[in-house]
Amino acid sequence: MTAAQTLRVRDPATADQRRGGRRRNLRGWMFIGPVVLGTLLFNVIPVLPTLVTSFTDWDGLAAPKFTGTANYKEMFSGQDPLFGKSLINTAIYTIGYVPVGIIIGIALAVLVNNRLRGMAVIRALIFLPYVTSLVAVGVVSRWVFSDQYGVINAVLASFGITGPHWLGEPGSAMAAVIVTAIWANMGFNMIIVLAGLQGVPETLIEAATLDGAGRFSRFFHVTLPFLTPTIFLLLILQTIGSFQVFALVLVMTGGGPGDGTYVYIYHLWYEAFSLRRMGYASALAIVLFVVLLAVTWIQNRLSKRWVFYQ
Amino acid sequence: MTSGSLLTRRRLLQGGLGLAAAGVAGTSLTACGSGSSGTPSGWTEVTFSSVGDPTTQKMFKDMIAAAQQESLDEHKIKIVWKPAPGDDWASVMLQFASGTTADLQRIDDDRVYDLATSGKILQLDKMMQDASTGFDLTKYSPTFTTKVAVEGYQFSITPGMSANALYYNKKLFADAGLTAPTSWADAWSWDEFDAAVKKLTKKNGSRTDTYGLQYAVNTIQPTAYGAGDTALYNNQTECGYGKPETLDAIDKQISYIRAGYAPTIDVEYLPLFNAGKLAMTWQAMDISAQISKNVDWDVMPWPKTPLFAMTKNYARTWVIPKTAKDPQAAFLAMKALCGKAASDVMAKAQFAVPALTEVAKSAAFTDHPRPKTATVWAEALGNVAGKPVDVPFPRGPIGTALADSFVEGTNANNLVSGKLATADYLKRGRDAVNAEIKKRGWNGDKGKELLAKGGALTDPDLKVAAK
Amino acid sequence: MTVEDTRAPERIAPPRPPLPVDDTGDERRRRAGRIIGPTATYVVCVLAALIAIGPFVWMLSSSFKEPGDVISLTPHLLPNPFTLDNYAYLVNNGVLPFIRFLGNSAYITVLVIIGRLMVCALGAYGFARLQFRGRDAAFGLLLASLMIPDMLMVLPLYSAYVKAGLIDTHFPLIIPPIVANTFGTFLLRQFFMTIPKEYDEAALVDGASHFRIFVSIILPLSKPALATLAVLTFVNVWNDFFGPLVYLSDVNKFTVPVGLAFFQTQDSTQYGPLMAGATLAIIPTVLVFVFAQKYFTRGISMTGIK
Repeated sequence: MTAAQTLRVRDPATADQRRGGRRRNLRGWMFIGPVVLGTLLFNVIPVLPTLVTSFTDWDGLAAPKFTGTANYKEMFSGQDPLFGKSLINTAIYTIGYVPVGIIIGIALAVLVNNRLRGMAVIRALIFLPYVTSLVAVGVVSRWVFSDQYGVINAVLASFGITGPHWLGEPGSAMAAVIVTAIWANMGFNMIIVLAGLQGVPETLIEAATLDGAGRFSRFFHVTLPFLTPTIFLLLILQTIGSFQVFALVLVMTGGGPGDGTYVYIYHLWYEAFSLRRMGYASALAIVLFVVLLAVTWIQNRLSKRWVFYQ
Repeated sequence: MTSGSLLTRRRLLQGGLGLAAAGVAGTSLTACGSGSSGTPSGWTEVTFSSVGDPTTQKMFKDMIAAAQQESLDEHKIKIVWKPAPGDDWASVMLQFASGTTADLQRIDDDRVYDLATSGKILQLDKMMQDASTGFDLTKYSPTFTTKVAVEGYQFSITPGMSANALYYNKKLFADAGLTAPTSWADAWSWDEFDAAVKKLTKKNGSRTDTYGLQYAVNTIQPTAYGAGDTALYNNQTECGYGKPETLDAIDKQISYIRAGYAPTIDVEYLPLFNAGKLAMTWQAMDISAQISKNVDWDVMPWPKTPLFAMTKNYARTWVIPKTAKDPQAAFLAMKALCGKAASDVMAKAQFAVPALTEVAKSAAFTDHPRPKTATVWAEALGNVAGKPVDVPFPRGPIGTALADSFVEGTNANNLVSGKLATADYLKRGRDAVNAEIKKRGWNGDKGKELLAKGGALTDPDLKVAAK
Repeated sequence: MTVEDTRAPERIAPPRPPLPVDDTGDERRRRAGRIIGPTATYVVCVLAALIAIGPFVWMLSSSFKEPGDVISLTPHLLPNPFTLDNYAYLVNNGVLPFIRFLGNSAYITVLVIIGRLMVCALGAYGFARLQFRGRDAAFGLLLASLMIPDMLMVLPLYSAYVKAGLIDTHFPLIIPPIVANTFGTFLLRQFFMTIPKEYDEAALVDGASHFRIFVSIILPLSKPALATLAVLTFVNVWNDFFGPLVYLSDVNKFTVPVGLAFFQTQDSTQYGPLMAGATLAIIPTVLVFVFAQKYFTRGISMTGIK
């Protein structure tokens, strides 16, 4: 099994493919029917009006006015500089957050995947940021990154370094948001990888140990390949999630300084609910959808090179 | 004792559903149900909804009780209170879009225009002017109606307004040998203010240890107004803020940020003010509860400008959706909530300056341990030397564009982050507003046209009569 | 490892299908992936835990502080003066039945967890183990449904619920999260796909139906993933804010996050009661995590397969 399949898996019992085709289809749909129907009903059909309103001028109250492709033209003709800026900011956030977030999730999961005394408590503590009130996260992170009174700059100062005005400069503010996002989601990534780790057969690890493989070699050649389906899951979901980052930015920087952390959904939200341009916001959502579809498709194609399934 | 242990055992048996059971138990213990079951037959029910924290919601409940007793009981009208969380415009908009709003709805005043032009809310002029059931407007501050009017029409009224003022640290003032003015008539000149800001600021090398001033970007438009400029010119076909005096005045104010006399936008005022490291901060009334007990504070007016007017107050206003079950009853309920009894409750809570003048001036509002000079707030609704303290500001699509370009958007954020030259900020803002004017073919008559087109001005003549 | 990894696939050791073995959980056995010794593990773990708990500690400490003491320049750990007023105010403020909110949240969360585990596991089995027409397209649809922001979907949904008379009921908070969850389906699918196929094949040869294989082989082997999904669903539903905010207007039907949102308005935040509420709200989450975590660390118990 060299090139593992990702969204396509081979069924072990496919000998009677032609004869049992209809029955097999029915059986498959009996399994996936509920979730597919539910998704259609509650997550797909409600999206369809967005496609229509993206071609209108609409404030969400009065009847929408059809304006053809005006909303899309506004985006791509440079009339809305914040469209491009927010897309770039979002891409920077995604690239900064997703890989590091996943690597830290794996590292933590591997670290706590043992029965050492006290590990149960440690695991719970690492999970805490994921469930701590976002308001508290906002207040504390703004303090941690504070220019004059913050923890980070105090630590830097003890090494004689003058720390930056973190939330006052666009670049460092984005870095601060990314670091906080990694911190806030490390528990989420950890427990998903932890579940994945339980699927790694101990026999293989022992076999590798007997073959004289070192710890790192065992990890990279035995454990990691088994984790690839989990990593793939995280990669897909975190990328989609990162493109929709909003709440954390809202509590930490409010999109500032200037447009330094002004991310895509912030723009969409501002257009939709502050300026009441629901039509334009719909068009923004459709463009985001297309971008995410493309990114996910590419990730899925590439995954065939590195994701292993049984 | 036996029953107690039985209860415990039963709870234990309920296992995972224990919490749910506790919830049910909580219902019977909580005596604050809304619900319509309490309305006697023959009475008219009016639902009232507003966002607000529990303190505010409690105040609304008390206001309702006061209004009920003062006049509503005799009209056989009962207000049913429906508290709403957060300030999420999204939910209220959804409710308006689908006709599920309360009969009397409290909303942000900048939403009124859209709701009116979309034909979602009732025009109130006829009811307000009705001889028998309307308002005696002479008893209310002028802002009661003008502040929230749309193109001169009344679609909402507000029983009170959250006034802004400069909160100042008394100890820092005393240390610097400064005495704060106690009324808008005695407000500092800009030069006195400028000297005070500089005197109050304590620097430590390149860093500021104590800031003299903190303000939000929404002070920019009063500053421009004070400099003699307005937002729109030529029958609303051209954006203002182009005068050299405006640039000077705003630049002077922004220079405090660049020179470290005032913090940049990412630095929060509250921790600084609570730590005694901020001398003056421009804030609304409702932050007072969060100020540390260790800080001795009061409020003072913003400095005088050529036109005097110097505060842009924030208002939430009350509307009657067209879907209201009984608009007349809703109007009478609204009127009762603006009455003396309800206004007294609002005054005692120091929630907002009551629009009912006698209450705003009464001890109920001004006689509190803090601030000592609550009259500074109260005066924000009135005039000084014939000029209004509160700044008029356009609403509607161009008002939205103005707010987006000069106050809320990234352009304003860039300015108060110290990243953008004032001239560039003004130019970008003007360009954006002028583009919007051009795009919409806007002029001073368009607002009324929009209202007429949305069916806002064609409401049937409601026969308002005492019930 | 991420997408950028361009190593030739054959250089990564292809995982051989493991043989079913008896695993009695030998404590001395090396756990999967451990790459550093116990002492180093402790040091790093404690460090990570310390970094993790900062905001939680602030939250806890703030919940015992007086209003003016919460926001300070450099947060002080110990409340001085110490007060229980925030908790008292939270449960008895004369306007919000907070205990009731806890009850509403609890029952909604429990129902969603039970329902979601069933629907997602069924779907995941279909996606992971069966081959049939339309499967990949259906999975693509599930993923695509994540790519439109919720805030725009809410408008059409809201008006549909109004027409169906479901506004101000708990239906929109219970049924859609059960039957329309891509995350859970994807998570379980990925996990199911790491379970060796040899098990199913043996059972199929013995004449077992797919449903039988699903119930008696796949589900028992998937406890770690099911527990993970249960915990994450708990967090997700327990903390859901937007749904209840939009779909409910009767105060007696509100959930905890909506109740807490009362303490935070555009103009001001009542940090004390808010943090008291957030602290109370986090307790069940931590309990669920602690209860479920024995499954995350159990490992595949391969006994009883044959």
